[in-house]
Amino acid sequence: MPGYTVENKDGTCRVSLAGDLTAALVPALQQELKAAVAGGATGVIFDLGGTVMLDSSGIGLLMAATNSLRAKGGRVRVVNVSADIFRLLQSMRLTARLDVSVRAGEDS
Amino acid sequence: MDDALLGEFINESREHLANIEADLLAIEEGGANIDEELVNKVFRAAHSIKGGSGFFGLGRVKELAHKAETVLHMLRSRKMAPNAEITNVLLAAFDRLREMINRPGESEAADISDLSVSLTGLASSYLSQEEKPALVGTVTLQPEGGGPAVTLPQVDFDRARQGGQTIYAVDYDLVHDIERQGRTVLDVFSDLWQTGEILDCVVDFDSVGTLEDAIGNQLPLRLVFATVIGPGESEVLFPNMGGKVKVLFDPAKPGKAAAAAAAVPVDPTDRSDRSDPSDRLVAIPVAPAVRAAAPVAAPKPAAQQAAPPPAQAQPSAPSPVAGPAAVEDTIRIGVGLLERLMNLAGELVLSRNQLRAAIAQKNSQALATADGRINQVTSEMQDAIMQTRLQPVGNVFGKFPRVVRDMAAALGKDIALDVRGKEVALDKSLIEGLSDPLTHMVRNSADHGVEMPEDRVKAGKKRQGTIRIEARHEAGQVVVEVADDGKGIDPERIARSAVSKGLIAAEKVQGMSAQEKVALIFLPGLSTAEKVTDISGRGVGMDVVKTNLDRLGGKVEIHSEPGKGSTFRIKLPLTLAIIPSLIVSVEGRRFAIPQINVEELLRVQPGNVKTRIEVVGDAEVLLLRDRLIPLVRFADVLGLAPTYVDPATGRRETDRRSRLADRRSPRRTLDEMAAVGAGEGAEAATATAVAEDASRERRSADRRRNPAGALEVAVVTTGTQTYGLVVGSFHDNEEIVVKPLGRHLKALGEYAGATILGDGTVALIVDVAGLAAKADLAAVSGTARAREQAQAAEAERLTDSHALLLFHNAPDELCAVPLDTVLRVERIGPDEIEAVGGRRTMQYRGGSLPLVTLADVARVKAIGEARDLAVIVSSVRGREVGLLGAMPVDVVETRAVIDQTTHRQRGVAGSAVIRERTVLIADLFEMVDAAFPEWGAERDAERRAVQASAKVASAEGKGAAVLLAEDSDFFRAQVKRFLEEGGYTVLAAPDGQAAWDLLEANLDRVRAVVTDVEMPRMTGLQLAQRIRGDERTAALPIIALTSLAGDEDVSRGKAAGIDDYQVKLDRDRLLDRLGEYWAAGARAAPSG
Repeated sequence: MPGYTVENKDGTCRVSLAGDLTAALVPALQQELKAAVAGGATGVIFDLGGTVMLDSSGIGLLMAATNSLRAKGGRVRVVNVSADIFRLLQSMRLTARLDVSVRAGEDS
Repeated sequence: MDDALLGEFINESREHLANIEADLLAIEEGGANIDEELVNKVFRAAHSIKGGSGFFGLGRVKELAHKAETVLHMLRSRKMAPNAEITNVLLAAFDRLREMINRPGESEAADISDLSVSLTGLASSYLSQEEKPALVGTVTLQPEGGGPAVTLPQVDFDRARQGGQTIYAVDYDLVHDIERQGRTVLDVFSDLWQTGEILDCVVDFDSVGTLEDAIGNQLPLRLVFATVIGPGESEVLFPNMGGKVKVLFDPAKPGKAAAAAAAVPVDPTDRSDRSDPSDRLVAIPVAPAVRAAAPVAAPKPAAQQAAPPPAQAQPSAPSPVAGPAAVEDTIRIGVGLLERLMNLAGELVLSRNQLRAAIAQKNSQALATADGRINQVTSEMQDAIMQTRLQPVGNVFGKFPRVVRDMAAALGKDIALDVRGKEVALDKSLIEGLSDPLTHMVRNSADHGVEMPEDRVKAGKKRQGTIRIEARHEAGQVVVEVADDGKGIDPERIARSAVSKGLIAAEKVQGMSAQEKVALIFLPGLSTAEKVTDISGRGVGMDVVKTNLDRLGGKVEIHSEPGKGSTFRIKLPLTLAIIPSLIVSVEGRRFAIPQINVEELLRVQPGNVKTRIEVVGDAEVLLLRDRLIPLVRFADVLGLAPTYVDPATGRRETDRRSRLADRRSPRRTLDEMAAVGAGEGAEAATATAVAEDASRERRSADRRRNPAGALEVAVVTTGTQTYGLVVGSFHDNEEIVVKPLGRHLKALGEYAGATILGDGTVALIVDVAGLAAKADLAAVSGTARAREQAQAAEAERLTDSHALLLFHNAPDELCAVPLDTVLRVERIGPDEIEAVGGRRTMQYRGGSLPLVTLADVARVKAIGEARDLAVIVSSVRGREVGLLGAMPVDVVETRAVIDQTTHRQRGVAGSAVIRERTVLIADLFEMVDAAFPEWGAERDAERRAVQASAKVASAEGKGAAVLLAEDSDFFRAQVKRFLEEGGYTVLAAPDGQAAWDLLEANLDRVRAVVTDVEMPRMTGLQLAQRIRGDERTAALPIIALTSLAGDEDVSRGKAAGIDDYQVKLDRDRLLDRLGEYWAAGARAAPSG
């Protein structure tokens, strides 16, 4: 099981994480994203609905994706993050750049 | 897990916010004398809310908290002195914070722009010209040991500096310094949050590269961090980082901070690497007017926006953080109490084990021990648990300073609040239930009670009004009072309002005492405010208050004095739950008396009855050691026939004793008691009684000497009143669970509730005070003076108040007629009057209405040239006539004494002083007789026939007479005059008792009775009953004259034996009916 699903539709690539976004996953994801961008995607949405842990590689991936997309005039969004992750990204002053939004109504 | 943490944060924040309001108000009061500790306290509260909210992604909360913090910081550093405007803005900000904390999920969508602007505006307006740029200015710091300079907002820097904090610049590489050290990013940041404040964090986006590059090799960021941890201990914070941690500012070496405090305005549009601008005061364009003012210039927009704004923005933005609104369902308990509970739980376990062992061994001795122990532990535990629910009333009182302050400001009044008894404890549920009613009452007092300052000064009061909220314990209850020294409640106004709104019949109101009229305030739908203000609501208030209180098992009383003020007194049971009580039985039914009301229990042996029970005045009293207390026979109150067990036959017989006291018991009047003094008197009585008793004892075996005839008396007290309650027998003391009475029984004042006893039967719980009221007890003070006062009060209650219609004759001459005689009042101009043949008339309702003025018959001034005329239409001698006067007219109710001599003349029955003016009371009948003598001709002919027979009867019967009972001198004289003119001899008496005495003395002369209803000593109904009850007089016809003539009153009168019920002063009707009875020589057939 890959730990994520990728869905390309109308120029937007939606990456849904089934679990944590950590170093283990990053290489594979990076390839997927590269492909998507090369294929003309102008937007990437990271859905971290299933994510509890985000390590520096994960953060790095988000930032790299942002850099890539921006260069092409596209945008990145990070949605459905947990409260913990949100506060972390906020302390790092990354929430605006990465366009981070928090998930609604946790049922954990 | 998230929810739990969030929940904890919310609870903590709530606690912070709970006290902030009181603190802010205290700060405001302190004025220029800033209490730094207090400001610090509020500051820290805002600070911790800010901190935590950032954690949970509650960005708006954080932003608002931060802005509030800035203002508080300025207060703390004395850059501004607290005033109303600042306090208002801060109060509003914290209110909003509270709302947002309570609904964290919606907080992100909340619109706080108005408060943001206000707070920023405040902050900016209070800075001097030089300091203003600090709001938007920055400071640049050079790190020790080289490296790029760091630029910070001046405000943040100042704050850190004043907090004695060290500012570090830390170059992290997330990958190397954190991950590879085996820690997580989250951990690191958590630690940082807890130990200080992240002033800035800059992630080097570029160095991360793009998707094309290798990810995960590095993630550099630079952190600017302020913390109290000094350079010496910074290793703890940043282990193994060495030179990557640089000190930007060391409080120990302040000189270094010199660096350019230049005005380098932060460009709000620059978001290149400031991703989260919400955590600093961005230069929001403040209105030029504000910036221009150097010293304190209150910015208008800020002041006006102190009020919370309307609806919040629709959440179209990213979905907010978890959770529906968190409900307040927690309670604070002292640790000591918790420990006690833990101990008791332990004890309970031990006792249980003991019990089980004892049962297993079938050891009755051990069982008894275990029973005792379990009983004890259970009681203690129950007590402790109940205490956990006890909260100080002050929790509810806490919000009132704010309420009163805001209301006073809104209404333009000057009101001080006096709060007492904050520590009085009540069950939690009662406290919650009390909150709304109290709020309503306080608002009422502020709105309707306390007058405007000018009015108060005019009335000779202090300019500042006072509202007093007080809680105290009284006789097993908690009393909470809301009192004001305002204008009081006018019972008449309430009554009129209730009648005009159709909430109660006019007749019912007429008989009410002032207290009862004031109590009408609790009728739903009543609001006497001319202008229904937003503040106290649309008259839905007081009845809801009463309902709420009823539901809690409480009562509310109103005591008010017009002009002086009002007191609303709420009485609540200490606890709804379980109370110790004494079970008693009366005639086979069991009742519970709350232990707290029971003073002692007595058994009065039959032989002692005559010495211990006395008759004083009308009541029976018990001699209890050195004082006398009234006795109440419970069976009497219940309406049960008392019984006893006959010792001879063992059967239950009805006890025919109408009195508990023995025939041999001393009888005294109250005066004797006062003169002799209870002690001496009792001794004297005892001496004689003993002597008598000794001789009688030998004579017969007395039922009364049998123990079965002993009296069981429970001496009960309400705290202010003590009396003896005679019951059948006493049973055990039991702890009972109090259940409130059902709706149908609530009105029974003598019961406070009900309970289910161990065997399943229901026992009513006695309300000792209510029972006293029902048994009509007055304190037996034993002095003549007390009796005098009581009589005076009674007399007052029964004195006729006259309802008069006032009108003008000459412009300076006031006249009146009794309102009861008035059919209608019409307003006309002089041109409607027709003068024909020396008489005046007007067209009226299809006919001609004869008019008469007082000047026509009496020596008074003429109406003159008045243009605005009033015609008072009445019925005299069967016809309508109009009494002509001048506007204005008015209706008054007065108890003023009517002087029947000074101004007496034909047409004027007397005079009275009303509102400091002399008012002539017109006698309409005399006026009509004088003006239209021909009207009476026919009637008089009839009457003369009657008179003839009356005179015949008089001659035969030695002057047959009519008995007249009427307490108002004025009416008595009037009616006497009518009757005498009608040819009757009249025996007049001023009250029922005197009338009866007169009747007894003239049994052979009196042939009919005419009586008023409301009279002192004996009312008309009582007189009627007496007459009917006595064979000698039972056949007399009785006509009642009264102003009360509703259906109820009529049927009550008929039931008492009254033959005809007439409204006062319809002379013709009275004479007609009297004539009928007279001619019949006996009671006429009951009239319909």
